[in-house]
Amino acid sequence: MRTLRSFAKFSVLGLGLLWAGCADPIRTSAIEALGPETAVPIGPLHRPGQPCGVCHHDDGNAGPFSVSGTVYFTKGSTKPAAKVEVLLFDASNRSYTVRTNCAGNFFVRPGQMRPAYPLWVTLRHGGKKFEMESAVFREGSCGACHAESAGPRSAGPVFLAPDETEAAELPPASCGSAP
Amino acid sequence: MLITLVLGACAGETQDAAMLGLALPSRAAFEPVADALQDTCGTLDCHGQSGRNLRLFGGRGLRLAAMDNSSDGATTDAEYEASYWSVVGLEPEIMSAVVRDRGSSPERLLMIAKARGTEKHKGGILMKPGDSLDVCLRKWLSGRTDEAVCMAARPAPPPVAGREVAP
Repeated sequence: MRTLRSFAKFSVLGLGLLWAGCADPIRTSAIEALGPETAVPIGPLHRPGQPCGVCHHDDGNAGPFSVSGTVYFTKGSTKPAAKVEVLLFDASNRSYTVRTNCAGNFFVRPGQMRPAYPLWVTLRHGGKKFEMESAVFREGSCGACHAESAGPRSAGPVFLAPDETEAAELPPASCGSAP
Repeated sequence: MLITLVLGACAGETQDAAMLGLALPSRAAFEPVADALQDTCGTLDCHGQSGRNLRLFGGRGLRLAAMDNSSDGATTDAEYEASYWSVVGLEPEIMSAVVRDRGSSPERLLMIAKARGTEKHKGGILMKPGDSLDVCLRKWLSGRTDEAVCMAARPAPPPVAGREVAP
C-alpha cells in the first residue's frame, strides 16, 4: 500500500512538473505584459482594449472567445461606444451579430460562431455603418492589431465614427446600469 | 546567400543579384503585386508581422518607419523595396529558376504552394490556380505583370445583400 501511495505522489509531482515545463513562455509573457486587473472586476467589462484572446483561447484559463474586442467612440477617444452592433461575415457566407456592452467590449464564443477566415467586420449604430478597411485573416482578438495607440505594428483602437461630427449623434456609453 | 541579398537591398541590389547569377522578377513592376499581397497576405495578423520570414510592409499593415502607423498614409517606396526583398529573398535560387522558365511551374515556390494550400499554411487557402491573385503572381514571375489582374486580386467583401443582417 505504501508503495502505491509513493507511486501516486510521484506521479502527481511528475505530472505537475510536466505541466509547468509545457507552459507556453510566449503566451505567459504576453499575459504578464497585460498587467494586473484594475478596479473593474473580472467579467465582461474588464480590460477594455486589450487582446482578449491572450487568455480567452481554447487552451486558456478563461472561457474561449472566437472574436472579441472593444469599440471606442471616435478616433483617438478613450470613451467606449456601447450598444454598437458588430456584424461579422465570414468566408463561408455565415454572419453573426453581437452588441458592445457599456465598456465597449464585445465577444463571440466558439459555439456562437467560429469564423472561416477571411472575416469581414462592420460596425452599425443608429442607421450608420462603418466598415473595416481590410479583412481579418486569422486573429480573433481585435486588440492584437488594434493596440492602445497607433504605430508601425498597430492600427490603433477600433473606433465607431471617424470624427466628432458623426459621433455627436451617438449616445454616450455608461456602465451605471447592467451592460 | 540570403544575407547577401538583404545586404544587396541597401546598395546595388540588382548588381549583386546579377553577380550571384540570379534572375529576379522585376522590382519596377512589383508595386501592383505588393498592393495585392498587402490586402491578401500582409495584414497585421498575418505576414504584416516582423517575426515572419515573408514580411510584407504597407500603408495598412506593418510599417517600416518607426513614426508611421498602420492606419494612416500610403505604402512608401522604402516599404515596397523592403517587401520586394522579403519576397525574392525567401527562396532566391528557386525563384530565379521560375523566372528563367518564364514563370512556369510556379508551385515550386513555397509562397505559391502555401497560398494555394498545397503546402501547410496557417492562413489557409488564399487562391486557386487561375484566381486573380494567382495570375497576378504568375504574370509578375513571367515578366509580364498585369496591373488590372493584381488590382482585381484584392479581396472583396461578401456581396452587400449577404451583409445585411437583421439586428
